[in-house]
Amino acid sequence: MREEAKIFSDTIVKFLNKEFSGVLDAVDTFPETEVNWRLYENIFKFAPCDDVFTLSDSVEILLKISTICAGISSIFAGQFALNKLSSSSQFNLSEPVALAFIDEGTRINKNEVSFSCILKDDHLFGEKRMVMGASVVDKAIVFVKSEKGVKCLLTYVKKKGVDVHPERTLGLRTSLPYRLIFNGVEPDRVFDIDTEQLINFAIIYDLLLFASSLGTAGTALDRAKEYALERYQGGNIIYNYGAVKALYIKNWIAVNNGIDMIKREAGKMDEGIRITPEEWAMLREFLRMKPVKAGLDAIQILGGYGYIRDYGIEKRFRDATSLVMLLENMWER
Amino acid sequence: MREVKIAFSKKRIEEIIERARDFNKNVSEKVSLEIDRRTLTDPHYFDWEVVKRGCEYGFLSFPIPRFMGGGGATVTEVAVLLEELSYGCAGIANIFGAHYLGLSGILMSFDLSIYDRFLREVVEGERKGVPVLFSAAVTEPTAGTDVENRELLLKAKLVTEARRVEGGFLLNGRKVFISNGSVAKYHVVICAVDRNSPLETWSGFIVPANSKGFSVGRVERKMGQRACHAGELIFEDCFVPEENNIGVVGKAMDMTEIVLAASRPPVAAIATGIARKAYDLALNYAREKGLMKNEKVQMKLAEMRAKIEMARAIYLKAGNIFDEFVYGKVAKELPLMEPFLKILNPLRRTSQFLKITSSRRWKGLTVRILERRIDREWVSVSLGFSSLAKFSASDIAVDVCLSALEIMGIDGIFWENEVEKCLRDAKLTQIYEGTNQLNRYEVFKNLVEV
Repeated sequence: MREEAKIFSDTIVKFLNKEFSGVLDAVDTFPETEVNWRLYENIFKFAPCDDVFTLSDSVEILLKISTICAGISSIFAGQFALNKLSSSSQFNLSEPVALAFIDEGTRINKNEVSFSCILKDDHLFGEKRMVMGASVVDKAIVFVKSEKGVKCLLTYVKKKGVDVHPERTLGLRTSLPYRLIFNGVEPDRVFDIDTEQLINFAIIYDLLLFASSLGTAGTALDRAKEYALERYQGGNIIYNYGAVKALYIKNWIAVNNGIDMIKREAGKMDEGIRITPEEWAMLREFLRMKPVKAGLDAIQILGGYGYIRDYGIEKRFRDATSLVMLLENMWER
Repeated sequence: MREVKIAFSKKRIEEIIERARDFNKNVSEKVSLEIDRRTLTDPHYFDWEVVKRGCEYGFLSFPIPRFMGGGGATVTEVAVLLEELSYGCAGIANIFGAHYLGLSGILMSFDLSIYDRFLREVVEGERKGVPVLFSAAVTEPTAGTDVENRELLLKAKLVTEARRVEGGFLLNGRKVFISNGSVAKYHVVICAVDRNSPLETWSGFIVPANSKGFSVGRVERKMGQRACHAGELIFEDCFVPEENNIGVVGKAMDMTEIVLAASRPPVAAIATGIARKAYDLALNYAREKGLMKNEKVQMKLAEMRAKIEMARAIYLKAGNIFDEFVYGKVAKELPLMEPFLKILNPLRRTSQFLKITSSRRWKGLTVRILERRIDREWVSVSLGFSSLAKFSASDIAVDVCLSALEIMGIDGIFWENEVEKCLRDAKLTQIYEGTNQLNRYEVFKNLVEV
């Protein structure tokens, strides 16, 4: 990791540990219940608006932030992916924006990317889901289809014709996920975007989400190991039982292989080597259940203690699973 | 491999399923998600109305013998009921499941004084619509798996002890993760009378929730099955009279093994119910979204269906083994004796008779008769199959829920679509009633190694 990226991730981790220790647990609830605005305003202030980090750096940063909270790292994943897109296309981001990518019709294959949200007569219609932090920032980048292909729109979120609904989700609650419903809104700016750029964006976004997912699942495993090394059962340290050790090691290998793969792909992209959607779909197929199973087995190692909120393991499982599912079924296999 | 013939009364099973489905339709399905939402921020919220409605369906007295006025349900029948209730809501099903677990410690003791003093209250309360809930308190803060296995118990780090004092016992210590712990009127507490000799003094006690020296500590913030509380029980010089000792001192591990053989098929059934729910949700989703022609989805749904059928077959077999060869052998004359025992109900409940049945001598005699009748070899086989059913069905439930999530993709993580709740609920079935690792070990010890 380059020095700038290290400083950046250390700053975020320090900030989260110092300012919001304990708060992250409180905001791990449905967004309508409690929103810590100060936390999220600061998070978005941290998010860089320029493409200052390589993809490899971004992966490292997210791996580090996700050790604290995958919800927060998923917000950064969206920002980093948008910065990559802005550097390769005509639009520039001067301030943090929310990413509105996923809708019911989001499908990605080697030739095209489609959405169910549409731009018709210069007005935006449809529904975007899991828009993280949409109530904190003023604007969102929205991906839509139009008669002239896919467009990328910049629109104010807090305006007439945009309904903002909190999402109730399995995990990633700390990312403040919202559903945006556009009822014929006139976007503030419209950008053309070609298919290759868009496919590339989707791959980068998913790759960054996977980095967060593997990062948080890996932390769950580490915590489980710490627990197993401290606690006794039948007069022996839990970790000394073969059944427990096997659970840990099997998942540790899977998660660390996954992280290595993600890093390798990020490195290739930094060198300008293109990853095709088929290649990513294959890699994704291989990786997808690894963080989920690691999270489940981390809970299992702790038993009842893993199932309650206090140890933070079940949250990591929920977050890891949600991250994997965000773009699940959107890739043509 | 021992062959076991499975026999059921089809009519009775159909009647149980019908009753549970009616409850799901009229009660569980209306409140399940709302309870899940409320308990996310308020773990103390408990919907008593659901339990009261359960009284109308005879759920609280379901396994209590008929001569006591209960439903006389076998383990297999309890399991069938719980599968169906879990289809509606696993958390709600577990309120009744945990209650049955508490009752099973009493039922398997054949301790008449305890029957007459406590089971009677459940039956009479149910008739009046006043639920009397039980809990089973075994797990300790530093001993979960340990207290469910004979070998591990010897080295367990125990914190709870029932010291013998004049006229009874003085309980000190803590029990944790106790389902129904914060809402039960009576707790069936299993602990050592002497922590230095846990196996030899492992004993069962009934502790009323209003006992002096007893209090409820924290109510856990769980990932799933939140309709059913998991509470901490604290005992500080809590006096328990002699007559509340279930059976006799030192016999509780024998009893625990029988109770576990009886309680694991119902846990497997809970897991099966959750899996069925997840399967139906994914199937409906696939139909709505036009995914039924997608071969990958077809294969997934077929596998899910097959796994659910396997889970059900396994728990039915395990339940049947218990009913036929453990309980059936101990209580083979019970059906014939029930009319006679029913006539004796008023006499048995007189203070003079209760004095006799509460005496150490009577209890000791009951235990000796039981010991002669219990076939330990069959207990071992039954425990093996129950453990096999428990870990297989709960692993299947988690697998099926994950498959449902994969079919639904991002829609699967939304609370209102319920599949994510199924996954959260299913995970707990791999943990409670002995972790799946312990259950695998039980299968090895009781079915493989022998």
